[in-house]
Amino acid sequence: MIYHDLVIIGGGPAGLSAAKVAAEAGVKSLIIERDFKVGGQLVKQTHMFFGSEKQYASTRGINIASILIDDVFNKSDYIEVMTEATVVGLYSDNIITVLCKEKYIKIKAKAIIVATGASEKFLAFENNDLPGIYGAGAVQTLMNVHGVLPGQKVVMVGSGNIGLIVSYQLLQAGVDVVRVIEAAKNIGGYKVHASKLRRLGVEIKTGQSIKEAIGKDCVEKIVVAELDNKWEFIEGTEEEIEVDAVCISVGLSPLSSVLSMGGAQMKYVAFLGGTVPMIDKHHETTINNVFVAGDVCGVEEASSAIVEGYYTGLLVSERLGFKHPNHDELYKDFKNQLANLRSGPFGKKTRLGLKEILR
Amino acid sequence: MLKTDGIPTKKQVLSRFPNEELLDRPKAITECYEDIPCNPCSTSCPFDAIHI
Repeated sequence: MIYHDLVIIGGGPAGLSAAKVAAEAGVKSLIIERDFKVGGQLVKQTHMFFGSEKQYASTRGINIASILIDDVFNKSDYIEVMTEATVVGLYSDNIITVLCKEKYIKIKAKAIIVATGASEKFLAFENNDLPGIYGAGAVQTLMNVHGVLPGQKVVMVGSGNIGLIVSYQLLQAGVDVVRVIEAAKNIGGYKVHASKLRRLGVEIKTGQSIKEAIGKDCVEKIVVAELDNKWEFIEGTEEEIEVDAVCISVGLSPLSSVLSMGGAQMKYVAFLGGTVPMIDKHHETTINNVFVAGDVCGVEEASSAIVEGYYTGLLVSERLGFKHPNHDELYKDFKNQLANLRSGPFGKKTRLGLKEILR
Repeated sequence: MLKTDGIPTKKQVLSRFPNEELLDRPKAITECYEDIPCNPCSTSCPFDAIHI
């Protein structure tokens, strides 16, 4: 058994930020990351971020990852990073089991921050397993991390911010984005992104979704159709589009299964993207000393995950008896930043969702 | 319609125009019609012309 004061599960924006603030307060932590490097989804996000300066607005995601990673490696006396390690078990006495390089390791922590993030949702339709049908995350990884084009002629399914931004990046890479389709009545993401695509000639069609993919060895064409108010396809509105790739960008779902396993009280909250833990205002779950930060307790932007990481790191440090020298000031600042990021019409779902899980 | 196809209406575009007196010189017109929680336009404008 290995003993640690603080274990952070997940080395994405929330986990890295939590470790940084905890280190500032004097808490030693271990970050457990299942990928071969930390940074989470930021490493594939080459677009400049929105938000405000405090959350690195106007900076590209990949550069934000570098800043957060540097912050952590500069505090290597306090922060240990374990990569290619997957947490496979969480037990109510704060013991976790980790699968690392084909070995099981048991770790007992005084406090745990679960910052596992979220995973992509997919759509059920005929032949959705044909090669050439990707999730938006896979397209970002192929194109932005490895420099490989996913195809030449793409339909984007979903008009949230990720769908709109990835469509724009596909255009920049020379790919023909034939159409962006959106099942809902309105475009999901920021209209500044949508208008940018429209100005470049990309058609955006709402009230339409993908019904079927057709192809022998890979996708050759797709059938799209309009939807009625009950999300059912309207007979007779089918249309065939020739493509060699389809990108599915229909949202994310919190990766909270490790918390269910640990016995935390969970709740399905559609506004937050799926099943999330009940938390108090310190982000503590119903398991004593097990906290959460980032998308695992509600899908938002990376900006919010960063601030939630700072916020949770601050409060967990206090719990462990290490009060940050600027605790009061930072507490107010992080709370204000989160309130700002969740203000306005786009933050409404998060505001309503968080009310449902506050205990 | 902006919310269904990404194309703003003429009215929306005109709503971001400065008045005639200020239009004696070229002006940048922002095409942002939503209440988004962000402010990079304001912090990066070299003329300090955008306030949120």
